Amino acid sequence: MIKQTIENISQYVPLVFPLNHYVASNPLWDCIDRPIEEATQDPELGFKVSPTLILDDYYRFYCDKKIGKNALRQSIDEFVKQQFELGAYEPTGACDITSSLLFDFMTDSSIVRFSSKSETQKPLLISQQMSESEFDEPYFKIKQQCLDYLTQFSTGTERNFDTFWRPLVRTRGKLWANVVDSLTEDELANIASLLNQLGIPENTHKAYCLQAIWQFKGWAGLYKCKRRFPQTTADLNLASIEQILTLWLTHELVSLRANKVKNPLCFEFTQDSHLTHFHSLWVAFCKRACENLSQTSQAFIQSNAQALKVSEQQIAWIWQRAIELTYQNDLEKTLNKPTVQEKPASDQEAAMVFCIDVRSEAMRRAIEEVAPIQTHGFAGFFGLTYSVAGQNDTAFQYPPLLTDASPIRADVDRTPCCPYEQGAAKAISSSKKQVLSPFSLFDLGGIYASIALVFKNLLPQGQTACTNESYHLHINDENIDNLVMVAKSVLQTLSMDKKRPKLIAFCGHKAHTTNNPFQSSLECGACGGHAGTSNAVIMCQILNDTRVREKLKEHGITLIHDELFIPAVHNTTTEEITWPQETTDLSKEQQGRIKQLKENVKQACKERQKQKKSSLPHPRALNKRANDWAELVPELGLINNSALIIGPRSKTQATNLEGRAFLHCYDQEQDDDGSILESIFLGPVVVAHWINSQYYFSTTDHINYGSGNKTTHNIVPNIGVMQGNLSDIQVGLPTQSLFYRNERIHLPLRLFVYIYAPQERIDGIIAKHAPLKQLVENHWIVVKAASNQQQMSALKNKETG
Amino acid sequence: MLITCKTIVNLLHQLDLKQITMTIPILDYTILPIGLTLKFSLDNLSLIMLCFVGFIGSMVLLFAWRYMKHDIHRYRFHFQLVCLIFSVFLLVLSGNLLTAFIAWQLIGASLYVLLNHYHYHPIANKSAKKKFIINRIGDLCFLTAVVLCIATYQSTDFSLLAAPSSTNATILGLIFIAVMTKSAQFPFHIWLIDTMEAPTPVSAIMHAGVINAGGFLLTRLGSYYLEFTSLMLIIFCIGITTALLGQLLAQYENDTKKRLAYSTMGQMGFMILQCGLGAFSSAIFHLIAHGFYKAYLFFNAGSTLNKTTYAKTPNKILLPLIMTALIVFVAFFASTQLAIKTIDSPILVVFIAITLFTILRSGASCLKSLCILSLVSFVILFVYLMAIGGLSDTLQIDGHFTLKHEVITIMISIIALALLGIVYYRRKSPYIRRALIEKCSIEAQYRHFILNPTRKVGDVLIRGLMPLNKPLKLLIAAIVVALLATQNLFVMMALCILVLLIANRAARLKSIIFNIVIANLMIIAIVWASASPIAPKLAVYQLVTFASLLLGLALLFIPRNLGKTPVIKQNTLPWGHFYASVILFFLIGVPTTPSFVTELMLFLDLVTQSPFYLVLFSMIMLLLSLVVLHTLQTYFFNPSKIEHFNRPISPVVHLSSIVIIVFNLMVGIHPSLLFNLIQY
Repeated sequence: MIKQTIENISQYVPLVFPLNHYVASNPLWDCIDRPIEEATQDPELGFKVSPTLILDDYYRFYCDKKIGKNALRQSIDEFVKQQFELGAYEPTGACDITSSLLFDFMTDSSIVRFSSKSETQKPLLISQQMSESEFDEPYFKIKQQCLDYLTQFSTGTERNFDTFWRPLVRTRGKLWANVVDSLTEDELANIASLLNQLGIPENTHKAYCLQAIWQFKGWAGLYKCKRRFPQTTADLNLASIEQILTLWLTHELVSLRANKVKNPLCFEFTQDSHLTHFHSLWVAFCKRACENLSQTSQAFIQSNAQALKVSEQQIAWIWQRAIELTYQNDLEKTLNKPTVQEKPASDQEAAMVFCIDVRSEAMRRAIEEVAPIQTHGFAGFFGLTYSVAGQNDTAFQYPPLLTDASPIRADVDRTPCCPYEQGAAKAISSSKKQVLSPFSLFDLGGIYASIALVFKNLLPQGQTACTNESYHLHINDENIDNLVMVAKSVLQTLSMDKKRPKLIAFCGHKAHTTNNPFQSSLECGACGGHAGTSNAVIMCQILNDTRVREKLKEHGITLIHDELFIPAVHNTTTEEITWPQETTDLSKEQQGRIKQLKENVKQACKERQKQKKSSLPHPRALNKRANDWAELVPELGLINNSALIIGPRSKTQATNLEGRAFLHCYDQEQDDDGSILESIFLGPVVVAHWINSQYYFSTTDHINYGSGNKTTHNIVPNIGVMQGNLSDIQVGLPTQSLFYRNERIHLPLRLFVYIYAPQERIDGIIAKHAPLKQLVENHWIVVKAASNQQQMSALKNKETG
Repeated sequence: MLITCKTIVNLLHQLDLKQITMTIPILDYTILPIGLTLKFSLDNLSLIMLCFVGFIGSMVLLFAWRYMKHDIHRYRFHFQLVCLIFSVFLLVLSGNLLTAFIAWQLIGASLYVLLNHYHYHPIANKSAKKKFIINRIGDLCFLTAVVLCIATYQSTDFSLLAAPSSTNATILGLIFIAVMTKSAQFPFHIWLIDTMEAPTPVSAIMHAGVINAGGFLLTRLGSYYLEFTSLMLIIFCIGITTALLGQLLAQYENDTKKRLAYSTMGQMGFMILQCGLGAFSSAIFHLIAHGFYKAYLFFNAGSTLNKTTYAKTPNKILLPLIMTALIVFVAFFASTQLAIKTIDSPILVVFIAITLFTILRSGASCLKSLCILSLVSFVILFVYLMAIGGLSDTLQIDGHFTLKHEVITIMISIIALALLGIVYYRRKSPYIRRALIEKCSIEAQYRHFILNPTRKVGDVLIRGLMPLNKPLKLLIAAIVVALLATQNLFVMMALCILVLLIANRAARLKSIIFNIVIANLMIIAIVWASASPIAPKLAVYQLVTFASLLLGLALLFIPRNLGKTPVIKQNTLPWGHFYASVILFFLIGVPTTPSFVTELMLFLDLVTQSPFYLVLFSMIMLLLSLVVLHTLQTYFFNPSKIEHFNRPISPVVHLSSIVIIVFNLMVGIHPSLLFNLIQY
C-alpha cells in the first residue's frame, strides 16, 4: 500500500539535472502514459499544475489575430466531437450547433474571464497550520540538511542519508530522540508508522505524501535524476524519496507533539470553486442564446449543450489547441507552396552540417543567402557517444536518454596560457578557506579588486579564455568498427554516402555568457548540456582518418583523398562561427576551398548579427551581451521553439521559419527499411520534446516549473541554484529567459513534428516504441506526415484503436 | 611598483585638509531652549570615505543599471539606491552626533526599503523586518547617547566627548552598541545572513558599503574611545569573537551567498578588532579593501557554479615558514628604514604572517613558483605597509593602546581555544558540526527567550479580552481611563506596551490599526504628562500630525466603487497600498517625520527624569516599529493579500494622500512651521 503510494507520487517529481550540465527535460516525463490533460491535474492527489495560459491571454491573442478563426473552430469541433462520442450522443447536427454556440461563448467579449489563475487549494500540512514563523523552521532545516548532505556526498564524506540526519536530529532534544529511536532501517515501515502516529487517514495518504514531497521537489528531483542517470556508481546510493519523506514526517511528528495541537487532522481538500462557477456561466450563456433560436434548437440546447461539462481548464485547452493549430496550419501552408528550383548540387563546393537546434535555422538561412552552400541539420552530438574527463567530473557528450550507450573515452588537452594563474588561484582559494587567513588576505589583495571592478563594469569586452583546448579520440582496433558504423550512419542520414561536396564542415554550437549559472541551458541539449565543439572536432577526426575511410569502403562509401571534413563552432550568443583545431598540410585546392568557405560564412555571420541584435529585448551589441557580467539576458536560447521538421532541406529552404523550428535532414528515398527514421525518432524527436516541454511548462506554470528570478539566485557550486537564502533547488528556466518586464516572450506551443515520410512508416515506428506511442496518443506532441494530408492527431488514433 | 607606492604616499601626505565645517539652518530644532543644529564637516577622514563611498556607489549603480533592465520597477530601485548612497554620504560628512544619528537612521530606513524590493516575497519582508528591528535597538541606544550628550553639554559636537568622564563613557558605550547592530557584531549578527532575498546589487552595496558605517563611526570617535581602556578592551573582545565565529561558520556553508555573508561578518569583526587595538587607520584601510573585494565577489557570484577543486599538493611547512618570516621581516625593516610609520600592533602582524604562510604553502608547487610567489607577496605587503603608513599620517588618529600586553594574553588564549575547537570540529563527522551550529544559534535563543514570551503575552491578553461581554469591556476601558488620568508615566507606559503587545498578535487588520491608534493616543498622553516646558505644544503637534495621517488612512479605507478591479500584477504595488505603507511608516520615528521630533523631545525630557522611563519608552518605540512592520508585511506589501486596496483610487484621494504625506514631511523636517502656529 505504502509502496504503491510512493511509486505513485514519485512520478510527479520532476527530473532535475545539475546546473553544470543542465539538460532540458520534460518535468512530467514519468506521467506520459496519461493524456497531458490528466497528467497535469489529479484531484485524488490534490495535484495541480497549470498546463495552459490563462483565458484572458488567449482572448487577447484572439483579438490580435494570433489565433485564427478557422483554427479555433477546428479546435472546438474536435473538442465537441470528442465530448459527444464519450457521452454517446449522436443526434444529427448536434455537434455543429454546440460548436457554434461554444465558439460564440468563447469569443464573447462580455464573458468575465478570470484575470488571475485560481489558486489551487492545497491541503494543509500539519506544520503549516501552526503560525507562520514556526512553520518555517522544519521547512528550512530540511532544506539545509538536503544541501549539506549533497555536498558531503559529492566529497565522499557521507554516503547514507539516514546516518547523516538521524544523529544530527537526535541532538536536538528528548522529543526528537524519542521519534528518531523508533525509526528502523525499513523506510516503508517507517513511513507507515509515522503516518499512523500523525493520525492521517489512509485515503489521504497519497495526497499528504505528495504535498510533503512537493516542497522539496527540487532536491528530490535532483537525487532522482542522479540515480537514474548516474555518473559514478556511488550515485546509485543517493537518498531516495522515501528517505526524504521519513525526514519530513519526523519533523511533522515532533512539531505536532511539541505544540500539542488539539485536532491534528485538518488535512482535507476543498473543491475548486472556479470549476463549478465556470460551468454555470456556460449554462447561463446557453439560456440566453435560446431566445433567438427555433424550437427544435432550443430543445436540443437544453437537453444536450447544457449538459456539456465545460470547465475553465477545458476551455483553456481548446484555446491552446487553437493557437497550436494556427501555427501548424500556417507552417504547413507555407511549406507546401511551390518551391524555387533547387540548385544542382554539383556547383555547391562546400556543405555545412549544423545541429538541429532552432538557433541554427536562422544561421543556415543567412549562409544560404550569401553563397551556394548546402546546409544540413543533424542532432548536435552527431551520433557519437563518448565522454571527456574534465577537471572535476566527466562530461558525457550525448543525450542522457541513451542510457544503454557505452561511452568511448576521448581525451582533452588543456594548455593554460598563463601557467602561474592556476597557482595563484589555488593560493587565494585555499587561504580563503582557512579560518585565520582570510582577514589579512582582504587587506592585502582587496585594493586590487577595484581595478577589476572598473574594468569589468566599464569595458565588458576584452576577456579571453585562458586555456586552449584540443580534443583527441584514440582510434584503435577495438573501437574502429563502432566508429565506422557511426560514420556510415551519419553519411547516410545526410544523404552523402554517394555524392557529396568536397569540403564538409561539421558545426557544433556553444554559448558564450559571463557570470551566468544557466550557461549550460543555452548549450547544446543533444550534447548533454555541453558545448558541441568537441563533437564536431571528433567527428571530423573520424571521417578524415585513413583507416576509417578504408573500412568505409567495405560498406560501399568511398571517400577520396581530396575530400575533407573540418570542424566549426557556432557561437549562438554572438552569432559567430569559429574554426577550432585547424588541420595543417593541406593541398592548395583544399586551402582555397576552406578560405572561400570562411569568407562566405563570415559575411553571413555579419548579416545574422544585424538581424539578431534588433530582435532581442533592449537592443545591445551581441558582443557586449556575451561579455558583460551584469547581463541577465545574454541570449534568448531556444525561445518560441514549436516545431520539428524532419525532411530534406530543399523543402524548407524557401521558408523563413523565424528560428522556431528544429530541422533534421532526412531523405525518405535513402531509407528503405525505416531504420534511419527510427533512430531520428528515438533521439532527436525526444530531445526536441524535452526542450520544448521545458520551455512550455516553465512558461505556463512558472511557480512550480520555473526557476524564478535570477537577481536573487544563490548558487550551490556544482549542484544548482537556490532562491535567496535557502530554498528548494530550482527547477526549469529562470524568469528572465521567458519574460521581459512582465511580458511573456515565449509562446508555449507543444512540439509539432512534421515529417517528410510515408504515413505507414511513421505509424509503424510509433507503434513499435512504447514511449513514442504514449507521447503521440496522449497529446504531448503532434506528429504529422507531409505526404499525407490526414492529420494524425490523437483523436484519430483513439477512434481507430 | 615602487613609484606607484611613492605617489600614493605623497598624495596622502599632500592631503591635509583643515576641517571645513558648516551648519545648516534648514533643519532647525530651535523650538527648544538649547540649540540643536545639524553640522557638516569635511576633513581627511571624510574625504577618503567620500571617495570610497562614491566609488563603490557608482560601481553598484553602473552594475545595477544593466542588471535590472528586465525589471519593470527598475527606476524605483535606482532611486532607492541613490537615496541609500546619499544617506551614507550624509553620515560621512556629519560634524556632530545629532547629524550622525539622523544619517544613521536614514541609512537603516532606505536599506529596509531596498531589501523589500520584492515586496510580495514574504521571506524578503521577514529578513528586512529582522534587520530593521535589530538596527532599531542600536538606533535607540544611539538616540539615548545623543540625548545624554545634549542634556549634559547642551550640544552634540564630537569634541565634547574628549573629557574622560563617566557620562562620556556611557555615551561612547551606547554608541558602540549601535555600531554593533549596524556592523553585525556578535550577538546582533543574525540579520546579516538572512538578507539574500534582495537583488545582488543590494547585497553588494550592503556588504561593501553600508555595513562599514560602524567602523567609520568608531574611527570618527576614535580619539575619544582611546581614553577609556576598558571600553577598548570590550570592543576588541567583541571584534575577535565576531571575526572567529564568522569565519568559522563560513567554512560550513555550502552556498555562495551565505558563505559570503558569513565572511563579511568575520571581516567586520576584524575591522572592529583593529579599532579595538587603536589601529584606526588600519581599520579604515581594511574597510576600503574589503569593500572592493566583497563588491567584486558579489557581482561575480553568478560564475561560481563550476567550482574547480584543486588537487592537494604535499604539505610543506618549513620552507614557506622561513619565506614568510623573511618577507615579513624584510618588509618591516625596509619600511622602518624608509621612515614610514606602519602597523605597530603585533597581533595584526601575526594575522599578516598567517595569511602569507597559507598563500605560500598552498600556491607553491615547486621552488621556482615559491620564489615568484614570495616576491609578489613581498611587493604586495610592502605596498600595503606604505599605504597604511600614508593613511596613518593623514588621519592622525591612531592611538597607542596601553593595555597591549593584557590584550595579547587574552587574545592568545582565545585563539588557542578557537584552534582547539577547530581541531575538534574537523575530527568529528559533519552532522556534529551542523548540530553545534544549531546549538550555538543565537537566533533560537532570541526566539526562545524574547520573541516567544512577548508573543505569548499578547496571545494571553487577546484570549483573555475576547470572551468578555460589553459591560465588562467598558469597565476595563473606564479603569484604563482612570489610570491614564492619574498622569502617572509608569502606568501610561505600561498600558501602552500592553496595547502594543495585543496589536502584535491581533488577527485582523482592523484590530491592529485600532490598537496602533490607541497606542499613539497614549503616547500623546505621555507627551502631555511629561515635565518638559513645551510638553503641551508638543502634544498638540503630535496630535495634529497623527490626526492627519489617520485621516489619510481613513480615506484609503472608505469603500468606493470605481468600476472594474484592475488586473493585479504581483510585482506592482497598488497606489492604495503604497500610500498606506508610507503613512504607517511615518509613525515609527524615522528622521524627517513628525514622530521623530516627538520621540527626540520626549527622550530629551525623560533622560533627565530617570533611565527607567527611558528604557520603557524605548520599548514602546521598538514595539511600535515591530507592529507597524508586521502590519506592512502581512497586509500591505503583498497585493493579493487584501482586496480592499486593489480598487482604483479617485483623484481626490490621490491628491489628499500626497498632501498629507508632504505636510508631514515638511513639519517633520521643519517643526517650527507648526510649532509657531500653536498658541498655548
